[in-house]
Amino acid sequence: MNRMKKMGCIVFALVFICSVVLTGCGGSKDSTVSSSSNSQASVADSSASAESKAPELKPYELNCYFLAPQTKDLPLIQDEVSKLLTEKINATIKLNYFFWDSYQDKQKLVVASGEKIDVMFSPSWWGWSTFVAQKAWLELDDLLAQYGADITKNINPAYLKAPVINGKLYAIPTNKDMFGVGGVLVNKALAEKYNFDFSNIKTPADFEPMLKTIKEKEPGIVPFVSAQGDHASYFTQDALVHISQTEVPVGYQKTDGDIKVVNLQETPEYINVIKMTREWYNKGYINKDVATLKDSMPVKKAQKAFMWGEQLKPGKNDEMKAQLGYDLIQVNAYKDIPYYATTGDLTNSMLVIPRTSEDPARAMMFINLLFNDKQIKNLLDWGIENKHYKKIGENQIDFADGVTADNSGYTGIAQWAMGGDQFLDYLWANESPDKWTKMKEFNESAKPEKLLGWVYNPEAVKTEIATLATVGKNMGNPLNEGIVDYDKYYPKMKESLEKAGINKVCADAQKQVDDFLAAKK
Amino acid sequence: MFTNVDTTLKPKLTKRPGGFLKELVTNRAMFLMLLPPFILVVINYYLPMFGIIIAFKEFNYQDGFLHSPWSGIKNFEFLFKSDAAWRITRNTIGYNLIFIVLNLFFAVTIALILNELKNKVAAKLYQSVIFLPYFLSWVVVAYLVLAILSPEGLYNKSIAPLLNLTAVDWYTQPQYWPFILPFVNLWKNIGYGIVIYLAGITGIDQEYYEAAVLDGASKLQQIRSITIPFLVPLMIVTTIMALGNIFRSDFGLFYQVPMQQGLLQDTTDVLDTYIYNALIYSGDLGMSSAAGFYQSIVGFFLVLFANWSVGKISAENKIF
Repeated sequence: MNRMKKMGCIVFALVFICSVVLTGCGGSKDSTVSSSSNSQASVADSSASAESKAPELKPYELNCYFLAPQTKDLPLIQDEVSKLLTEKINATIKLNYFFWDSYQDKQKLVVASGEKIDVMFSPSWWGWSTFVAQKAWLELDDLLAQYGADITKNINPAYLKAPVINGKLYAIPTNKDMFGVGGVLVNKALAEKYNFDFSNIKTPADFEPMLKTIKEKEPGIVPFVSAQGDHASYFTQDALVHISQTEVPVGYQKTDGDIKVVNLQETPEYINVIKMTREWYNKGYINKDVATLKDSMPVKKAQKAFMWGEQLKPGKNDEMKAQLGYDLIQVNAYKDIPYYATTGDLTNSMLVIPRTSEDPARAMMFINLLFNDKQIKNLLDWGIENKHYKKIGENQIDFADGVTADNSGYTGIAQWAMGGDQFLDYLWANESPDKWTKMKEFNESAKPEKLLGWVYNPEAVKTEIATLATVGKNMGNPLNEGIVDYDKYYPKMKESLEKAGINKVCADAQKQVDDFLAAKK
Repeated sequence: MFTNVDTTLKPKLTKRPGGFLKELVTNRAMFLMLLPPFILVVINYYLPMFGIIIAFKEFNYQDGFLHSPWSGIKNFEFLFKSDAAWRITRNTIGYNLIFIVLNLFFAVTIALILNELKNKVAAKLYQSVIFLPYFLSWVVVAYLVLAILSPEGLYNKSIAPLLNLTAVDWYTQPQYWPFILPFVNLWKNIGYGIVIYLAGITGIDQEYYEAAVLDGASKLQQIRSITIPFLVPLMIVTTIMALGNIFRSDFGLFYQVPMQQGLLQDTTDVLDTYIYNALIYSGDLGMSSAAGFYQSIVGFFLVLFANWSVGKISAENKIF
């Protein structure tokens, strides 16, 4: 029966080999290194093909990361943009799109991997200042002066004063709405069916009777749809400012008086909203799977939602209609309150040039084009003319023939996150032609806050910020989602926050605030 | 005398390298089979070891990995500053111990049962069915679990009403997860263990059983006195290997299956998920590597300890 023994050996060997192969597969997860070498190879390729053009500039491939959904026709857009860029600055482009569900993770991982990146979307609410402290982003002052003439010409000057740390500029913000208003978007058809009147909404709590009606009369519809951890901010952003990334609950209340840096989760504004959210969750107005739902877009697209939180600006509802395909109403969460433009608002959409860029000058030229080249900007925003959209006027566009929000190969782009000058964007057929004029008025209506231009530098308390971010994310989400009781749950969280050093961070930030205000006088 | 020893030893010493070369030639097939895992281990485990220095540096992208300023043990503070250190250590070791015991028990038991099945076709079928989940990605498994346990899922919508049980919001109740996670892990990984033990059973010489049958031993007696003793060395080897990894956790299981719920972190947060989250939310390479370094050091001592304790029980089964 030796044969049996042999068989056993062979089986064991096979299993062993299988397991080695399988672990090998697992190990290749972080193969970003190899992809970066690919892109370098294609740089070499393109250098061979387009040698004749623009002799002063060598061919170059720009590797760019944007917050955008992964769409079917992305390769086509990439080719089109590359064509235009080859003519103008002899460069081609590699577009990497990641959306809400993965951008934050992906960004940290590709930066840590040392991949060659030329332009990257990096908003202040996703740890931009931490990256600056780690020297991951390049200083842009000289590059801007040399290659960014159109940026300085077209951008509202307030923007370039915001992303500044230790006197140096580290990002180019998007020229757009200068502040956001917290509020909701509502499915118009449903609102009209029940004759809801939104003119009397003074606080978010006033939405409750409507949610109640929808809950009772429309069984298949979620009255207030919300995804993992995303809800509370829309109702608190008019009053509270985070000074670091959103996971870290440290900040101050917007006011004309003295600025006090505090634990935001103990402010009355936050507590009120959280308690209301909890009530809504208990009454079944918020979807039960809020804690595990990673993306609420499918629910909205399927018209299974009545209302959801959103950061508003003039024409937000029309912008969203282009993505969702049905009419929406936008309603501010609070009435008769002053709106402040804060540093956070000016830095909430920015492009940076990472240190790994092999040609920062070219990257700046590309950003410059986003501020003066209507063709490139709109290509990135809306896709290819007559394939994804068609022109119906000088500046007005609509879906191309046979294309809808559902079947378009390039849709769902968040135009505000694509950088550049948003006032160059075409408008949709359903949008009012004076949207950009209104937007400029809107921008002027904001009250500049006292701290405008101040950015928190977390260098001295990096350890504390890192711990607070982990605690804030893990323990804060359940609060924001409404799945736990504030009074029962928060004491435990408070203990963790204090252990993680929240008081030290508050004190450090307070000192920086005081120094800034003293220097301003 | 001295010279005498010298001359007798010399040929042996010079022969040695030749002996290895000769062995290389005669067993070339074996060495060739060893080559891929060897390269893999060098690339995956030995080359990155230089990265340990990041744990002691205040890393920045400008100066890079060699020239960033040193920061002593400051990066390690972060791990012990929060209340996380105790929680993740307890969870990592606790779960792994549960997994080792459960996987060993069920793998051996099911292997024995499958081996005794008369219908060999059915046995193969069962084995394949049990093995199948092993090849599923954790992401897929996580959504299967979600489909059953979500508030609108199979349990709350179909099973609970049918059996008159109360609905449970699984993703907000940490106390259930010490049962859910081992079950999911067992379901996914048991097939792998079964194959190893089945192979071990097939390797046992049939003459033992023939002799036992002649002596009138029952099936149970055969299993107890022949099969299990033959499997013991295999069990010890797999257990030592598992003990060596006790400070590493299956990232997919702990990250994907609980859907990254903060509320569940008391019972689902382990070292690997904590390190990953720390990198994602803080973006600090130094602190993440410090946590990784801590994991490796404790893991190293656990391997030594496991091996030492095996040596106490049965010296011949020690790995080194």
